[in-house]
Amino acid sequence: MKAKLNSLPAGAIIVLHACCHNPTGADLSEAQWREVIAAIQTRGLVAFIDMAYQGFADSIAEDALALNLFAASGLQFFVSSSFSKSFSLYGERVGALSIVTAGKDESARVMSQIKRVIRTNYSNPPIHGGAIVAAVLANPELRQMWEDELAGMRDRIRAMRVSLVDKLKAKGVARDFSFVAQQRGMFSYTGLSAEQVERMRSEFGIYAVSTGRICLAALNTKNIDYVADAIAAVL
Amino acid sequence: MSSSIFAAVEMAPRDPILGLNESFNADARTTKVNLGVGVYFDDNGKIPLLNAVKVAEKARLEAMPPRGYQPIEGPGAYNQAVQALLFGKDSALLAEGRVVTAEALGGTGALKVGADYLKRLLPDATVYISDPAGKTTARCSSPPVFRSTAIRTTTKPRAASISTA
Repeated sequence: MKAKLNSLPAGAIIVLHACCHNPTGADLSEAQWREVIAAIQTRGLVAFIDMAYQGFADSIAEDALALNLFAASGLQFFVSSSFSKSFSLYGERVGALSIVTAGKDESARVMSQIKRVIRTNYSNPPIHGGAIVAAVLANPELRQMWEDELAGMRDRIRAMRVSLVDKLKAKGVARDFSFVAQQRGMFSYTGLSAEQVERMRSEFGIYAVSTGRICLAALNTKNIDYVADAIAAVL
Repeated sequence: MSSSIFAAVEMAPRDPILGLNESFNADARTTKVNLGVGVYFDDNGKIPLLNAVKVAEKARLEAMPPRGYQPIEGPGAYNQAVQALLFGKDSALLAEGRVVTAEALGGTGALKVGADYLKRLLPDATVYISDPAGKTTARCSSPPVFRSTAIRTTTKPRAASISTA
């Protein structure tokens, strides 16, 4: 990844996932982020950081690690963020575009350009979803309630990851799936082939993306044995 | 005789993930499981409505506020709350006025507004989508969103120097 970054032309735009990488579940360490930032600075690249899963890896604050490192770098960069997952408000379409500039004066000019893009597209955002999110975040009691509920989602996904690995092992699957328990966020690449994914669908009614990506957040204590059996059967 | 303006329209390919939902919904098997779409389900297989959301929504419905237009960039209180979550409320960037935020239609909408602006700012730039595991088929909103803005996209192959597995 670093070699590739160092080969990109100046001004190239790179989209990076801040945490819970979709689709792989593999995140960079702090040292690796520092190397990425150094390469971006050296090459004159433009980073666009996608933050769709804040709070699903470790916590709201810890999942902002990459953003904090970028913030300290002095770079200008873009951030797309979403409350679809963290507030379970998928259909309300609540997100935000943030842009870090070199200073206040630039900020005003950049914002005027962003407003032009929005005005000529959908004019202004709908009220409801954003108002609910803002109300929760502004009220200390509701904010704590939300962080606790978010932690509950995070812990349940982690438990399903560990459980799936255990069950596959218990069913005598030889292939090592321990990476599934170490990865974070909703997704993992299972390594299943497109043919195996198709057998999961046709023989078991289990739907996954043909690349082998599965959403661990759809597993529960009632279906996990069935899914583990199916994976064991198609391997 | 007049022919329809749509007569030559081709069928667009199905969205690889949302299309999977359509097949799942049409499947009659009661044991079916959808591991395709990136949605959190609770242990009963339902999408939760968070209690914090319920309380805030109930208060809002009872207040019955008017529905005027919003500012183009969305309400200031919302955007400031987003900035505090992303950068921390005591961030130097925020104090220096270095961050601008506009509410967007989900993360996909934010990518699209950003992509539209980048197309104006850097019309000839190529967009590269990161891929720590080295798979070449990134399946999330970003590649199609950038492609729809006529920005060249590519997925970076894995390099030996950074391994994230």
